[in-house]
Amino acid sequence: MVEKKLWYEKYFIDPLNKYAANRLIKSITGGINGGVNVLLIGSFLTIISIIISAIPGLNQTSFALKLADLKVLVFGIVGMFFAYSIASSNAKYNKIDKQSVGFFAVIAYFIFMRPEFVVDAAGTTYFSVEFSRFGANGIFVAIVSGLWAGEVSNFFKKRGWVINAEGLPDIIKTWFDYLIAGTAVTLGAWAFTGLLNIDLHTLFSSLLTPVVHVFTSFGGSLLINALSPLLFYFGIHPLSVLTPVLAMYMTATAQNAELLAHGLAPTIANGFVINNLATTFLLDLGGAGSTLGLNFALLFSKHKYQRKLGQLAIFPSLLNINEPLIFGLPIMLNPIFFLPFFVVPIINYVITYFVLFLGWIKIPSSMALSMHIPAFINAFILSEDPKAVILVIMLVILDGLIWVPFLRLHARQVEAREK
Amino acid sequence: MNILLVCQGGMSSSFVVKKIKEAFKNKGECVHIISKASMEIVDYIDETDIVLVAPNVLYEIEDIRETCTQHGITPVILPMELYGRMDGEALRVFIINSQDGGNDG
Repeated sequence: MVEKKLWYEKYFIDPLNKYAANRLIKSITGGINGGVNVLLIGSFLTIISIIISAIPGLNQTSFALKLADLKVLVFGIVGMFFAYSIASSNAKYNKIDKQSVGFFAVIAYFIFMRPEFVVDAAGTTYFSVEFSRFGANGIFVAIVSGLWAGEVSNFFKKRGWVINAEGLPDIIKTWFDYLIAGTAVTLGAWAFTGLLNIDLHTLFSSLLTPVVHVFTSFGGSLLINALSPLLFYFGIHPLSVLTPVLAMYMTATAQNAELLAHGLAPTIANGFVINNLATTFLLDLGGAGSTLGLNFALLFSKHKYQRKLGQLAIFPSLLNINEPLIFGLPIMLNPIFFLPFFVVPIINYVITYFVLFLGWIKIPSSMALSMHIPAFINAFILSEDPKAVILVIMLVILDGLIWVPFLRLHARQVEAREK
Repeated sequence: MNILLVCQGGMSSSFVVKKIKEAFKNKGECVHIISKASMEIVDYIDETDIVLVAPNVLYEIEDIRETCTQHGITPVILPMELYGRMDGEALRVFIINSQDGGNDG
C-alpha cells in the first residue's frame, strides 16, 4: 500500500523528522535532557532556601548564606555535566562505550575552558578559571566538547585499525582503541586552544550573542512559542527539534542568575532578560502547547468520554506530560483543535511577557529548571514571586475557557458519528 | 516475556506501562514491562523480547528499527489513540496480536 504524501508531510514533517533524527541533534537533545536532571538537585536546594528565607530569624544567618553558596556551586558546574551527558548520549547512538566517551568529553571541556595554574608566594598551585564558564554559560562549549569526544571516539573505534594484531585478547584491543581515541580527543582539543590559541568560550560568546538576542527578543520568543504547538500538532515532539534552541535560552538564564546572585532585583532596568529558559519553563503549563487548561476543561465537561480522558490525563498533565491529550483526544492532526492548540500558548506568552515587562512579577531567573514540577509550584520556584502563581492560575482558567467551545464542537461531532 | 516501551523521554510511556501491566495482571498473566527513553534502547535490548514504540518518537523509527533488527526484534508501533487513552486492555490485546500474526511494525 503506497499512500500519496500530503504537501505538509513532504515539505514540513519529513525535513523536520530528518533533522530531529540526525545523530548530532539527537545527541544534543538527549544530552541536555539528561543534564537537566542534575539541575534537579539545585532545584531542591532552591526550594529549601525559599522555605528558609520565609522563616523569620533564619534569613541572612550564616546557615542560609552557606546554603546559598551551595546552590551557586551546584548550578555553577552544570556545564561539565552537559559535556558528559551529550558525549554519552552520542556514544549511545554510535553504540560505543558511553562512560569512556563521557570522560573524554570532560577532559576536552576542561581544556576548552583554558584554566591557568597560578602559584602563590607559598608555592601552592591553584587551578584558576572564570567560574561562570563552568555553569550554563558554558553550554555551547559543553556541546562542542561532547560532540567532539563522541564523534572522534566513534571514528577511531569504528575503524578499528588501531591495533589489529592477531591473537591479541579483545579486552586489550578495546583498551587500545579507547586509549588512541581518548588521546586524539585530548590532543585535538589542546591543538585548538594551546597551539591555535583559540578561546572557544569567547568565540561562541561573540558569535552567538546576536543570535541569542534574536531568540530572546519579543518576536523571536513568540516564534518559538508558536512553533512548539505547531510541531506537536503534526506529531513531532517539540523537544526533539527545539532542544538545541533551548541552549540559547539557558545562557540568558545563567546571566540572569548571575545578576541575581550579585543581589540585583530582577527587573529589566537591572539588565535581566525576560525571555530566558526559566520563563519558558514557567509557560510550560501542562506540557508543550500549554494543555493544563484544556485538561481542567475536560474534567468539567458534560460529556462522559471527555471527563474520563480528563481524569486519566490529569496526573500526567500536572507533571507537564501531555501525550495522553495529544494522542488520546486526539489533538494531533485534528482540524477542530488546531486553532485553540495553536493560539493558547501564544496568548499565554503575550500576557506573561507584558506582565513581566511592566514589572508586576519578578522576572524568572532561577536555574532551577525542571520540567516535571506542577506548573503552579514551578512558577514560584522559578521566579520566587508568589504573584507568579496567581498569574499561572489565571492563565490556566483562561486557557480552559478558550478550549470549552471547541470541546463542545468535538463532542457534537463524536455523538453524530455514534448515531 | 520482557517488554520494553520507548518514548521521547521515558515519561509518558511510564504511565502507559503501568496500565499495560495492570491489564496483564488482571488476566493472570505475568510480564516484565519497562519504559525508557528511546536513546536507551541499546542498554536494554539484550534482555528484551518485544520492543514497543510510542507515537512520539516516530521521527527516529528508522534508527530504532535498525537497532532492533540487529537483535532479531521487529519493533511494534503503538497506535496513537490507544497510547493516548492509556487503554491497558486494548494495548494488551494489540501486543498479543502483534506477536501472533507476524507483526506489521
